[in-house]
Amino acid sequence: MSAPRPDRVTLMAYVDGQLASAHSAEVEQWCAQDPALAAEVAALQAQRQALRDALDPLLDEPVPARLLLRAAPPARHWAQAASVVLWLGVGALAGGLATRSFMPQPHAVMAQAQDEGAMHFVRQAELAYAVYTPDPRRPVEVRNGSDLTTWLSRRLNRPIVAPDALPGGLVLMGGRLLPGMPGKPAAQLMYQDGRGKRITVFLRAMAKPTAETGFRIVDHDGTTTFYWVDRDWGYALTGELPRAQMLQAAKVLYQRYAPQAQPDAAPAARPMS
Amino acid sequence: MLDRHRLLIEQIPHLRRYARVLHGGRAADADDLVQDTLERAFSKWLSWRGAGSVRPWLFSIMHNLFVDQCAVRGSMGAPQALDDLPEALHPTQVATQEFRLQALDMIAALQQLSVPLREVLLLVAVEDLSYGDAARALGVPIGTIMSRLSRARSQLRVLTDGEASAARPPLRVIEGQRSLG
Repeated sequence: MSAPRPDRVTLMAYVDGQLASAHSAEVEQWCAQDPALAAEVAALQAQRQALRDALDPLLDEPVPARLLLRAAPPARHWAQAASVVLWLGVGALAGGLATRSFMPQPHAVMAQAQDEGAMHFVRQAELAYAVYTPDPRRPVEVRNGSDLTTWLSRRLNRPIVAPDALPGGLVLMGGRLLPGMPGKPAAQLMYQDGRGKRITVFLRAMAKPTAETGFRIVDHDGTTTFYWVDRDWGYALTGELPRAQMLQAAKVLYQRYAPQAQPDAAPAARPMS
Repeated sequence: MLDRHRLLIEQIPHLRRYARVLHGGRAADADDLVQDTLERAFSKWLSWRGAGSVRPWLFSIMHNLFVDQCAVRGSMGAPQALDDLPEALHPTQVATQEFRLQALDMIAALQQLSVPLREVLLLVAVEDLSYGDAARALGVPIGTIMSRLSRARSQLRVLTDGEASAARPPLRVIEGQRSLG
């Protein structure tokens, strides 16, 4: 064998995945004919695995709200950014923030105060989406089952509907309870399609009732949120799927949450750029 | 815009885990450190400018804040006594009782390493940082990373092997009762 017998530093680097593949192959050749080396590598690997087994569960702990808030932009700035879009009358600002529902309209300025509440709602939905959808281990608190909607309905004090499937092959994984407004929790439902793409439904009571119902669309760096407010409840569908598919899913949810509404009463989507 | 927040949010569980082990399991102290780290990251965001992965950069911020704290308290490098191992560090989601005991042994042993050794081991073996990233995060040469890593592993092996041979009686399965698992 041409390569020198690997020393401990080289073995560690091998176990840590820090060696170029050619050097890894040399270590493996040595181990194949040197039981002492092979045992040392096995011990290093076992220790590495034991460390991860011991510490990985810490990743599953729920993140305290105070830390999520530290990682979130101040709400006021966010609303100001939205109002800049409004005043400029531009559908999209270079830089990624695009609130297409704020296209200039006669009533847009009057709607601004109300929209700040809606922006806060959308931001909560986006944060909850960003936090929980990448989680490989525990994306939902309660899996889809007989008691999911019972539990959420009791905690939110409102009948919560969670269709088992949404258009586009989206299947209900489960849901979780989240902070919403003071004294009023929010719920998140998560769906996954056949390719592992996830979307979330975020819903909670709004601070102020509103008469207006309409699908609104907010884009942020590839994440799209469809939201609508039905009297005193807000609903947000967040994901990175094509808009047409998200809209289909949103329409189904809208119908399920308004059984008393006319079948054709789904709101028209606001400008879809 | 959301980009930055998402990047940070995704790292919070890793930052909390690292801080928890640094702080010997004290959850409140650990989360204070995470909060300080997030605030510092926001104020220094432009200095990162998307160069490289965000995680090593956040760990370096946390390391520097922790070193500053220790300088004030004078506790850097002091091994933790086993008695200091708090309940808060105990993982709650492990599958079986036997597995849980192994995990607790490992965590207890980890607390007995000095902070510099613990840091290197966590960054490389648990958080998967490259040696170069770990060196930048901790502000030491790469050779120091490798020598600390070697020492940390040797000490940890002695600590865990010692406990394994200390004849802890195995848990018996008690028939007729619901097991803890």
